[in-house]
Order: sequence, then structure tokens, then C-alpha cells
Amino acid sequence: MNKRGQITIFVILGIVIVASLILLFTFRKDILPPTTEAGINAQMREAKNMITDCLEKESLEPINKIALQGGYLSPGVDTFRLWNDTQISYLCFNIENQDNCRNRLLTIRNMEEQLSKVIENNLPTCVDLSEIGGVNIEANKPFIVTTRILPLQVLVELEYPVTVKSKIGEASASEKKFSYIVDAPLGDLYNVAQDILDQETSVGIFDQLSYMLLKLGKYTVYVEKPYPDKIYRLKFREGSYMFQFGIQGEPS
Amino acid sequence: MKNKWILFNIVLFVLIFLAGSVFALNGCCEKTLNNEYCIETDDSNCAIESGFQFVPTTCESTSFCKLGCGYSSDRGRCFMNTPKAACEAEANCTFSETPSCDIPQCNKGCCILGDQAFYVTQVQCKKTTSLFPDVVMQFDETINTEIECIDKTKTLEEGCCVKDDNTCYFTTRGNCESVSNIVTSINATLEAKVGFFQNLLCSNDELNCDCAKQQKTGCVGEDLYWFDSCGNRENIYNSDRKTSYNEGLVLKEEESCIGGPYDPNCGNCNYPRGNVCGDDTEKVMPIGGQTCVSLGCKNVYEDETSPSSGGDKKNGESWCLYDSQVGLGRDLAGSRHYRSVCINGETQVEPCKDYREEICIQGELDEEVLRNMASFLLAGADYTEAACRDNRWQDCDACNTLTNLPDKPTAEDTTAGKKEPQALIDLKMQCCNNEDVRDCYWLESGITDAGGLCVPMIPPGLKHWGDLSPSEVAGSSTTTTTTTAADGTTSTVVTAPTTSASPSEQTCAKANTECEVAFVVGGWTKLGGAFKSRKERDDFLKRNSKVIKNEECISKEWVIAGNNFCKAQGDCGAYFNILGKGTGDGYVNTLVFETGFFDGSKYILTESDYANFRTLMQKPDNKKETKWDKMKNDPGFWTAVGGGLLSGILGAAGPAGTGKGNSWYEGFGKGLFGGLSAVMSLGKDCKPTADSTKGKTTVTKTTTATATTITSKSQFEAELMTQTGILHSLNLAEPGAYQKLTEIKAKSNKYYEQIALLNIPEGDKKALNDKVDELKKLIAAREQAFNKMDKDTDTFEDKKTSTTTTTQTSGDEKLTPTTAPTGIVPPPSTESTQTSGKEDEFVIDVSPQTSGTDDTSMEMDITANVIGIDSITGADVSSLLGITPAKPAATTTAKKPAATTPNTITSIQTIIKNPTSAVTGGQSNVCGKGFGGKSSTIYAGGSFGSLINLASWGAAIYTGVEYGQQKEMTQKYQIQCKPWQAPTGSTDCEKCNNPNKPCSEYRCKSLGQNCAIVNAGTANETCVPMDPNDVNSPIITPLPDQMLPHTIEEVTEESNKGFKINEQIKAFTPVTLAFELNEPGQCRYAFSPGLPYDSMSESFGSVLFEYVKVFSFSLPSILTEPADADTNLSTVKGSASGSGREFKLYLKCKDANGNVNANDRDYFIRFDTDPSPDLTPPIIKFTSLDNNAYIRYNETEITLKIYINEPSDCKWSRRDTGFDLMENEFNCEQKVLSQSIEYVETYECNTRMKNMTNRENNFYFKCKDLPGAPIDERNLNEESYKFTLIGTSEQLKITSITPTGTQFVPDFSMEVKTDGGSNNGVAKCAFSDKDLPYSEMIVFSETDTPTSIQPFTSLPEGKYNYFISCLDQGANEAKGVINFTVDIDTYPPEIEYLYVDSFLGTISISLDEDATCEYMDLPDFVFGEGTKFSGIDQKEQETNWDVSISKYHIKCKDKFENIGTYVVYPLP
Repeated sequence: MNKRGQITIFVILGIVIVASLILLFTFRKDILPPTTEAGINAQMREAKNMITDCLEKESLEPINKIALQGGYLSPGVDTFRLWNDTQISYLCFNIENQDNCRNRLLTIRNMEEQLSKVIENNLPTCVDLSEIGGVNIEANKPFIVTTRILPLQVLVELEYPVTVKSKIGEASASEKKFSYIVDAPLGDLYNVAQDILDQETSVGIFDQLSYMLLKLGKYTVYVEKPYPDKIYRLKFREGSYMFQFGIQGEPS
Repeated sequence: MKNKWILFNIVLFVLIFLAGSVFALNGCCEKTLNNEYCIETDDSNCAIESGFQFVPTTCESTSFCKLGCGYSSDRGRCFMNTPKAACEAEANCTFSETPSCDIPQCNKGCCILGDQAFYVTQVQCKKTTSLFPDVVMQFDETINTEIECIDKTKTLEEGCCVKDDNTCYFTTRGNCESVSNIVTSINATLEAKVGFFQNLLCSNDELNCDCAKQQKTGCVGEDLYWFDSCGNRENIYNSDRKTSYNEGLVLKEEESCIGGPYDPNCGNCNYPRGNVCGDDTEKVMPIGGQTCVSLGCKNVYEDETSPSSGGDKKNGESWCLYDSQVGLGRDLAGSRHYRSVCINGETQVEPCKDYREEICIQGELDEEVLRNMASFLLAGADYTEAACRDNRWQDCDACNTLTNLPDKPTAEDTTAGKKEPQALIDLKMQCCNNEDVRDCYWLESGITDAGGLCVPMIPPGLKHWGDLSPSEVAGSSTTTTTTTAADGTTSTVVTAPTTSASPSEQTCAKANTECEVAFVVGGWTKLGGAFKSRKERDDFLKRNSKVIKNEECISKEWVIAGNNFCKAQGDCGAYFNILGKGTGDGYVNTLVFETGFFDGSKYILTESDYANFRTLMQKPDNKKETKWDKMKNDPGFWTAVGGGLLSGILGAAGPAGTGKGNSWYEGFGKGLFGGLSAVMSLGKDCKPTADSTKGKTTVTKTTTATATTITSKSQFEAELMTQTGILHSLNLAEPGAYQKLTEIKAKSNKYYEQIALLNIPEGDKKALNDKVDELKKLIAAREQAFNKMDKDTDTFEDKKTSTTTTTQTSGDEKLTPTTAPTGIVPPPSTESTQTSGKEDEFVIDVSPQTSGTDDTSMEMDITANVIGIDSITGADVSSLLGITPAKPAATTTAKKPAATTPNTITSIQTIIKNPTSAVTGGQSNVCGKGFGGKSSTIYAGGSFGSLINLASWGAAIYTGVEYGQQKEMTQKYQIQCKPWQAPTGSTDCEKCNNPNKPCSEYRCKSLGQNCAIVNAGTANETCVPMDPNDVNSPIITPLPDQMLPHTIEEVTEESNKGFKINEQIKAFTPVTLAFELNEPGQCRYAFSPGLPYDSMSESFGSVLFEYVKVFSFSLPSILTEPADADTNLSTVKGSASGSGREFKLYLKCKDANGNVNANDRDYFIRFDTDPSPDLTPPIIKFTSLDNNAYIRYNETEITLKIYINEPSDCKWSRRDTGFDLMENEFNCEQKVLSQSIEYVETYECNTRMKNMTNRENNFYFKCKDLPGAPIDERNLNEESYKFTLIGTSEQLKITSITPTGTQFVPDFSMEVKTDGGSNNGVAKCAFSDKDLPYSEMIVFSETDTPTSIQPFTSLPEGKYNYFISCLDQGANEAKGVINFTVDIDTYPPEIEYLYVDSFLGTISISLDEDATCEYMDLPDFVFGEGTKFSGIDQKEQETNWDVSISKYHIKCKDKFENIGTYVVYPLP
């Protein structure tokens, strides 16, 4: 074999080795599945991150939307006013010939249930644990989402038992609950909305200026009056998260 | 077969589809398909199939959605006014019947968490606390307000919390975990190294914290603080560090420095004072990046028409933005009120409710509440506060219909010229100006008997545009009404649905009014000869006729006054939009277009007659018009100056001419002086102006109240003192006293308004208003005294005569009201006018005067108003004097006018309603007297010998022909008030999109007929021009279906398109013409071809821009009147044809862009009339009172109007007898064109029914048509029209009013029982805490039965006194008063007896009052959440004994919501 032939062989061998290394790195999880607890935990963290990312992704939009639409994600017929491209729910309905109005009774629990339901429905399109290779993942139960609306945050909790098992050996890790916190003052702005509704349902008049001064300017309350309704828009003075709702008016 | 099956299915599908669309019902749905509860929607959206209920009514009226309080124990929140089903569907929601949530669970208190405090319910506090496990909950239910709660945080104990590991943090005691060791005084030992050190900063050297003081600054809450090196808050920042450090002790906020915004030395910010800690954008601070920043708003949006706008505003300040000067009916079409607020350095605009349903009112902080007008004009206040509130215009009209005077009016109450008693007018004005309950003002106007009307201060907006689509109209069907006449004959009327007026048109139509002008054509004129044409005849008559009644109706002022009244209804009449574009389509007055007698062209309203737009758009200031400003703009001033000069010249010539005088210059001087006196008197009582900007239209003479311009407080005080002095010194027994009194009263009625316009502080205004109140009281007292005198003295004549006298000085002579010696004997009063002869005559006694140098001359002071004669002019008097032999004394009789009320010249209204006095003697003597010197004195000439006799004969013949052959005619002039119309075109649409004043559909539509809001509901909602390239005129297409039963055929004649009605039209048969346009438009018609659109007088159908135009009419005049009849049918032209008469209506239509029929061609509608004789008797279509209506107790007379379908003679009787035997006649309208304005296509007849009894009163009416026709052509009702009025047999009485005495509950009902009256006690009752007229009281919630009930809820403790008034259908009124006291039980129930039965295992308690009890094994449970005892609202209670519970916490609540708490330790 001449020198040239030897060089050729070495080059081919080098290419084969490099290609093997690349293949090994790419399919390392399948070729070298985690067998230790640490390795399994790392896989579990990956699964957890994926689920949390999905929780974030699927929560933000409905949490913003429910505030912009007055506490309802899908307002029903005759229960909202289209304003500024948004279906703004009436939280108080007109009582004929009276200044005050009929409370629709929007509760925190109701909003929590709506949020939970929509996030629950949307999660399957996002969470795909099969992307995590090298381990056996047991996650066969349905998504159960619980949402808690706090004054300044919305806590989204997912009950979804996930078990990561090594394909070789006995190592496994499992998580039952995942959670994500959205910084949205939905609870606080809901309370402001209820303060306004207390006035609208009892006397039919609410002076936003007095309220803002009483709260030392913490909140900003805007009032719009597209005939014959009233629309309140609420936000923190320094924030951008907005809750808006309507009071149904009476045309003359 | 297959085809039939397909057809069947199609029909079935259509039917199902139609059924679905037609029968969809709206109502209250318990639960919708979308899982919503208690929503008002249509039944198709309701989950009826799932067993939920649907009732076609409002949710409040249903049992399943009745309103109450929803208490959610889940979060401790209470929801007021909540539907029952909504609450019950919610988990943990408890429903209670009290909508206001007055239940213990909903009581709020102060929840303190760490250094935060919230004003919430106890359960809410618990829930919030549960989120922070380390924090101890504090709930203080004794705190009743949120402010008190927030302040609570300021009193929290603060200090340094030192932990075991020597870490330190500054906090409240509650937040310090190491609370075992608490040091509350610096003098106490500090040996303890761990614990809470109250009032010590963590940087205090006494502590073992490694924290260095004052290292940096930062914001906490609203203030700027020092921070130590550990990041702990210290005291409020002060550049004087030593003072701020306070030796390491806490320095309270109130003890800290005082600063303001951007103060580099102090960080004590104050939110209520408008500054708060924030970023130091101004870089003022020597340390740190924060400072106290201002929250005020700099240089806010300024609007010329909003007095408070512009400049800098403080935080929390709010002010109004307007589109023009507002109030007094000046608000422009499309205008809106806005409130602007300054908050946190940002300006927000809050629009008040559109259509001016809300108005913006403003005031100044810490100042008196302003009245409406003063509020609108507020400017320059230190701190303005504004609010949008309801526009309370709805019941303005109620004040115009007040009739319930305390006593029946006496003759003295009725001032001359006003058909209504003065006391009633005062009552109406008082009602109108009562700003406590309504926003109205008294619009002085000559078009009413009251001299004015109560109209909205801010007229509401109307939907002044039409938008019916063709499909909407086409889908509606015609209505067929069949009426049966008294004689049994029937007639059918087919009416298209669109013929009924729109709500806007109905609103405007309230201002429709009419005036009948009577004029006389003298015999010589009448004999003037034959005329070639009607026009020639009319022109001749126009020049030679004389108006004898209501001449004011053919004046420009009447037209303007009518428009002012029309505008006051809202967006009606001729007016401007917010950009100053004026249109007059909303105002039609037939006078303008009458081509008969009077040339109305000069009375067409121009934009300057609507209002002075430039003034409206100016920023209102309080600069007053100077006297010179007023005078130079006053045409009367220049007239008087001219008159003065002329008088001077005449005066100079006078003495020479008569030979009486001195030198010529003396006469000139006297004349000139007299003229100047007249000038000076101008503006005091003779001011011919039409000040429409103030909502007033004056014609000739204003009251003296508006004459003096007062611009300062001192002037006003002097004015008030003067009037008070005059009142005190007024001798009521003297003649003229009453007039003086009424003058002062009239003046005083203006004072409030004048004060509001003064540019003086509000406090001063209040003081002036108080003084006016005092003056008014004095006026009332003097008036009362006067009335008493009047009653005591039957012969007291002052009231009767004083109103007929006017005393004024002209030059150096005094024109005094003359009495007998001067020759003319005036009728002193209506009762004593006649001295002899017939009622229609009066006597002029012309006696020779003994004074003067010439025996043959008579010198007389004549004051027409003293004469008290309406029809005699100055010229008449002169001519009479001229033909009267100089001596001896002669008695001449003259025709007395129809008016029987004494003449007076006290106000404009009088003159308007008594025009003859205004245009004849009255006017010349009041306003013309200034022409100085002796110009008002008439000199009778001397003896002219035999020429006199000749002249006398001539005059006698002339008079005989002129008066013997004279003819009296009348013509009605109507004002039709219609919705205001926006200008055509679309050039201004985009001006609506102003960010400072948000646009709306109403505002957009007012800028142009072609403006429209697009993208409604989206972020791009804007007002844009619609189709600006449209240059095509509307295309007219007839709608045959809507013209049934008539059929049509489309024809083209001389290139004009049109259609003809195939059938001949019978007399008095309603005809409906209808067509459709291809775009919204307005149409007009005329009877002549080729007229330009703007010259066409009549609107075809509605004036709104609509697709479908429908016009209904009947043809009374044309068919019944001969072609040459003297009927003033100037607007209707017809030509006789063989088979009847053919008529053509020529139409033109205009679209929103102003495009009128192509090539100006007319569209025509042709029809023929049926020449067959009218054989149908007249039909009584309506009556002003309902048949079988009730009338008041002891009412003996009543006026009744009936409305007939054709001009007729009508009679009535108490017996059912023949027409000729009927004793009483109706006064019937017989002019064919004078149809009633109350009911279209009818003719009004009226009569006064007398001798009514308190039982059933039956009347029988019969009519005969074709008045003036030969007897055999006339049709008579064979059967009488029976009409019944039911008298009230006994007065309405209030038999009982409950409750009385003391009430121990806050919730109970007031009950009023009535008996008697028109319908066995059925009456509507109302109540008030003041003795007000019924119309101003609050109507009971359940009434119109013999028992009226008004529930009270949550009535606080106290004494109550209510006035009750009940009114039945017969207008009988009963009054009563109720007094009661509310004393509420505040004591909880007490356990009197307790028994534990270990054998039966029960616990029994006995209470001192009825109550409901619960228990738990925990203290402080919320009532409602415990285990209930057996009894509800009982004294005796029992429950099973649970031996596992050692301590029973029992709560018992009585029916007054008082809760008692007890602890029971049951022992076996």
C-alpha cells in the first residue's frame, strides 16, 4: 500500500469517526439513556420546563382577555357591547325607569373556572412530552387546571402526574403539580370593579374622580359613555393591565 | 307529485322560518344557552328545554329573578341588587331579600395586615389574611369609613425588629416575629438584643444593628424617606439631616418638614395637596433620584365656549367642556356636555350621556352651590369641581298645564290681555324655576296666553335623522280602519304604517301652534271692481285690508317667537349645529308661504333670527353691555332721536302756526327736549328687540325689570334697597299702588337670573339672592294686604283701573290718564264699561274746553289706553273729532271691538295678545309719546262754517258704505315644528373626530346629512362622509301596494314621469300616496310645475331623509268648494274637467347631498275627483273629552270640542231630538282649509256645556254638512251622537292614613285609603315632605286604587311629616297629612330561660322576643353559617345536645337584625 492509499484510508476513517461522534451526540439519549437519578431528574426538569412554558403560553392570553372583556371569556348573546373591537360584558343590566341596575353577579370563582377551563382545553396542543427522548414518560391522566386569582397575581396550577423513568434500570422521577404565576392585578381590579358596581347597583351613580382620590391615585378609572351605556376601564396608575366592563343603559 | 312534494317542503320551510322570526319573544330568561342567569333576551336563547323559565317581562318582575342581596361566603363579598337565580346558581352564595345588603355578613370594617389597611367585610379580611400565613389578622368593625381605615395605618406602632442573627428591619409590631421582647420606651433597658424596639430606627446606635444612617433616599407610599445602609426605611427626607434623623427615633409625618412639589429640602409629599413621591425629572434633588412631584395638569385643553377650561389645573380638579354657551335653550344641535378631570397629572375627558340626557354642572370647592346658569358660567375658580348629572327636563311641560289654583281666580287676578289669571301664571313660573326638582326656565313668548312657557333649560337631543331602510318599510303592512258613523254608515281608511309621525316628530310637534288673524275689508274696497285673476284680487285686498285681530301673528317677531318655542323642544326648528351651520327645514310656518293676503316673504327666518351664533361661540364673560351699547343697537333710539329733532322743528313751527306761542326757538327747544326725553326713556320701557339669545322675544314693550343694566353688587344692593323702600312706603289705598306692586314683582322675578350673570364672587351672589328672597317675602306680604283690602272693600277699584293707566312725562308736559273732565270717559273696568245702550257700544263724550285762549278749540290729552278701546285707532279718534260739531257737547257712538277685557300695557305679552292696542292707540301713546312738546296733544280745528255740514254729509255717506258693506275675514296661521335637519353635504363630517370631545353618532349626524359613523364598535369608529361623489338625484318609484284601495298607472307626460290614480277620488275620502326613493331623501310638492325645490312650500311626508315617503290627505275643499269660491285656496289649483276636477301634484326630492330631481324636472301625481254629489252625513270622529268621562264634583260647566270629518253646523241638546229642535249650537270651523291641528283631516267645533249635575249627564249631538249650501243638498245626521259625562256625586275623601304614632321597625308601608270621588275612591295618591302641588309630589308605588301603598325601607329614626294628595279621574283632589315617628329596636334578644335535658338530649332556650338562633363550637362565627335551632322567629328555641361540644356559642337574631351572643356550658 502506498502512502497515498494510507492517507486516503486515514481520511475515510476520520470522516467515519467524526460522523459517528455526531450521530452519537445526536442520539445520545437513545443510545445512552440516563440511568442515574441525576440524569432522570434532569429529564424531569426538562419536562417541567416544557409544561411550565405551556402554562405560561396558554395563560397569558386568556388572563388578559378576561379582563378586557369584563370577566367573561365568551360573552353570551345580549350580555355585551362591542366597543373598540372588544366584546365588553355588562356587569350590570338596565332596570327600566330606574337609575340603579341589576347585578350580574360576576364572582372571582366564576372567572377562575373560566380560566381553568380554557387553559385546560388549550394545554394538550402545547404540551408534547414525547419530544423528551431517552426516557419513558408516564403522563396519561387528563390535565386538571386550577386557577387562583390573587390581588396582584394569577396563580395557574396544573395537576398532571408525570413520571419519568429510565429505559434502563429503575431510576425514576415524578411530579404531580405544576404552577405558573402571572403578574396581573386581576383580583385587585376586580375589587375596584365591585366597588363601582356597589354604587351602580345601589344608587346608580359612581364618581370615578372621588374614588381615584380616595385611593390616593393608586388606580386610574376611565369612563366612556357610548349611548346609552357606560363603560368603565380600570388600571393601576403605573400599570398597563386593564379591566373593563359595561353598565347597560336605558335609551330614551 | 314530486313537484308538489318539493313545493310543500319549500312552503313548510318558509313558514317555519317566518314563525321563528315573527314569534321570537323577548323577556327574562332564567338561564341562557350560554349558562348566563337572569338575562333579558329572546326565548330562542333561553334554556327552556332544560326546565328553566322564561317570562316575557323584565327580570325584576319575575319571581325567579327578583332582586335581593347575594352573599358569597367564598370570598365574603356582597352583591347588591342581584337576581335570585344568579345567586342560587353560584356555589356558596346566599340570597337574602334585601337588595341593599343590609345584613351582618355585609358589614364592613377595617382589616389591618402588616402596615396595610383595607375596608372590607370580616370574611374578606380572613380570606386575604390567609394568603399571608405569617401575618396576624386584625379586624376592627368599629371603623365605619374607608378614610378612617386608611388613617389607621398611620397610628400603627413602628420600630426596629431585631432578630436573633442580628439582622434588623424596620416594620410594625405586628410584622415583627420576635415580639416576645417589646421595648416601648427608649428609657427602658436596651440590654435585650432581640425583639421589637418601638419608635427606634434600625440605624440607632443603641441597637446592635450594623446599619449606617441616611445612606440613600427612596419612595414609600406618597412620601420620600431616608434609608439606612441595610435598606431600612428611616424618617421622611429632610435636607437637614440632623432634624430628619431625630436622634434615631421615629419622626411622625405630621412632625416632619412641610414641603411642596419639587422641594429639594423636604420629602413630605401630600397626595390630597397634589404631590406625591416620584422620579425627579426636574433634577432638583441633591441626593437620590426621587422627589415630591406635582400631580397637577399643566396648560389643559382650552375651549372658547367653556369658561373653566384652559390653564393649569390641580390634581382632582374637574371642569366642564361645552360646545357653545349653554342653558336658556342655547345648546346647539349635536352638542354634548363633557367633564374633564385632572388626575395624577393626566387629563381625562368624561363625556356626559349623549343626546344631552346628562348635563355638566360645576361649582367651586368650599363655596355655595351654584344655580344652573351661574354654574355654566363659572370661571376662574380656585378649585373647580364638576359632574355630569341627569338633565331633568322631562316635566317642564307639566308646569305649563298647572291649573290648580288655591282659590278660583277673581276678575282682579286676570290682568288685561292675559286670558290666564296672574296668580296662575306666577304659579307656573314658580313651578318652572324650581331648580330643586327640574331644569327648566320660563321662556317669555307671545305665543301663549300665559305670556310664556316653561321649557327645558338644556333642550334634550333628538334623533333628528331618519334611517328606515326600504326593506323595513316594505315589510310592514297597511292598516285598515273601519269607522261607523252615528247614522250607521261606515267608512274605511287605509293607512300606511309610515304615515304615523316618528318619535322625534311627535316631540317637536308639541310646539305646533296657530293663530287666527281677522281682517276687515272696507265697503269701498270691496266694491272696487272685478278682477281678472285671484292674484290680482288678492294683491288688491292685501293693500286695502285692515287687520282687526291678532296682527302680531303676521309679524316677524311672532315667527321668531314660534321658532324659539320650537327650538326649546330639543333639536327642533331652525337652528345651528356645533359648527354654526344653520338650517331652517325644521320650522314651517304657513304665513311665510301664504301668497294670499299677506306677503310673508319678509318673515322668512334667516340665520341671524335663529340666534347670534358668533355670540354663542364666544367664551362667556361677565362684561356688561353699556347703556350706549344698548342704545346704539336699538332702532327705537334712532327713531326717537329723529323724532326728537322733528318734534323740535314742529315745536318751532307750532307756536307760529297757532299763534299761541312764544318765539320759534322756544318751541324748538321744547320739542327737542321732549324728543330727548323720549330718547332717555328708551330702554326703560320701550325696547323693540328680539333677543333670541336669551330665549326671549320681545315685541314692543318690555317690562321695566329688564331695563336697568346692573353690573355690580353695590348697584344691585342699591336697587334692592330702592325697591324695598318703595314697597314700605307704598300706600295701598292710593290709585296706582297695585300697578307699582306688580311692576316690582315683575322686576324681582328677574333678579335671580341677573345675579347669576354678575361677575362677582359666589358668596356675594348668595348674599344678594338672600336679599331678593327678603324682597319677595315683602312683596308677598304687601300683595296679601292688598288682596285683603280688596276683599274688605267691594268698591275698591285700584286693581281694576290701575292696570289701564300709564303715566309718563314727555318734555315739560305730563300726560296723565284722563278722567271725565277731559272729555273721553273711559270704561273703568269690564263691569262698568257700558253707560248706556248696547253691549257693543261705548260712549265718547266730547266736551268743549274752557281753558285756553281759543273758545273754539278743544285741547285734549288722549291716552288710548285710558280709552280702553281696542279697535279705535288714533286716526279714528282724530277723524271722529274732525267730524264732530265743536259745540255744544256731542255724544258719538262707535263700534266696540270684540275683545271685552280691559286694555293694558304692562308687558310684551299683553301687547302681543291684544294687538290692536299695540298697533293703534296703545302703541302711539306709550312709545310714541316721546315725540315731545305738544306732539301728543291733538288740536281740534275751529269752526269751518258750512263746509262742515258738507264734509259731515260726505263723511256719513263714506262711513255708511265703508262700514255697511265691509267684510270680515279670518285666516289661520300655523307654525309647524319639525325635527331640526342637518345641513346637506358631508364636508364637515371629519371635524367630529376631535380627541378632546369624542364623537358619537348623534354628533356626527348633526354635521351633515351624509355624515355617518363607520366601523361602529371598533377602534376605528369615525365620522366620515358617505358617498361624497354622489351627484345623482333620487329616483322615485311608486309603491302601489301602499296606495290601496286606489290603483295607479305610471305615465309620462311632456317628458315628465309620474303616475295617475285610476279611480276618481270622493269627497273626504282619505288618499294615500306612497313611493320609494333609491336613496334617503326629502320630498316636497306643489300644485304648479317648474318650481324650484326651495320654493315648494309643502313637505311630502316626513321631513326626515328616508327611503319611503308616504303622504295621506283628503280632499275636502277642492271637492266641495266651487272653483271661484272665496276660500283663499291660493296654494291649491285645480281645473274643472268633464268628469270632475283634475289635479296634479308636482314633486321634487332631494338627497342627502342636496341633489334634486334630474334636470329640475318634476315628478307628477295626477288624480281626478268624483263629481257625484256628497250624500254622506258628517261624522264626529273625536271628542276632546272621552265619552263617559268623569267630571269634577260640583262642576257645572265644561268646554267640549268635537272633531268632524267635514265642515258642518252642529247642535246639541239634553234630549234626543231633531236637529232644528236642538237648543244649543256648537261653534264650528267652516273654512275648508282650516283643519284642526289636533287631529288631521278633521274640523273643530266647540261649545260650553252648562248646568251639569253630579249624576250622569247625557248629551245628543247632530251635525249638518255643507254649510251655506242649499238646504236640500245638505246631509244631516239622522241619529244623534250620544255623549255622556259622569258627574261626581260626592267629594273625594281620604278616609285613613296609616301608620300613625311610633314605628319600631325601619321597614313598613304607608297606606292611604280613599273614598267617594268619581269612581268609588279610586285615586292616584302622592306624597311629599312639603306642601307642594300634586304634580310635584312623589306618586305612591302602588296606587290608582282605593288603597294606595308606599313601602319604606331602612327609614332612619326620627319624626316624619308627609303631605298627601290624591287625585281621581274626575280631577277631584283630597289632601291629608301624616305624622309618625320611627324608633328602631337596637337591643338584641336576651335568653330568659335555659334548660338542658340530658334525658332527651336537648338544649332549650326561651328568649324575651321572637328571634332565630344558631350555634357553633367556635366563637365569632358569622350568623347564617351556624347550626340552626328549631324555631324561626320564635321565643322558644330548641336543638339537640351534642355532648362532644363542651362550649356552645349561640347567636340569636331578632327581626330587627340585632344579634345577641351567648356562651353555654352544658353539663350532663
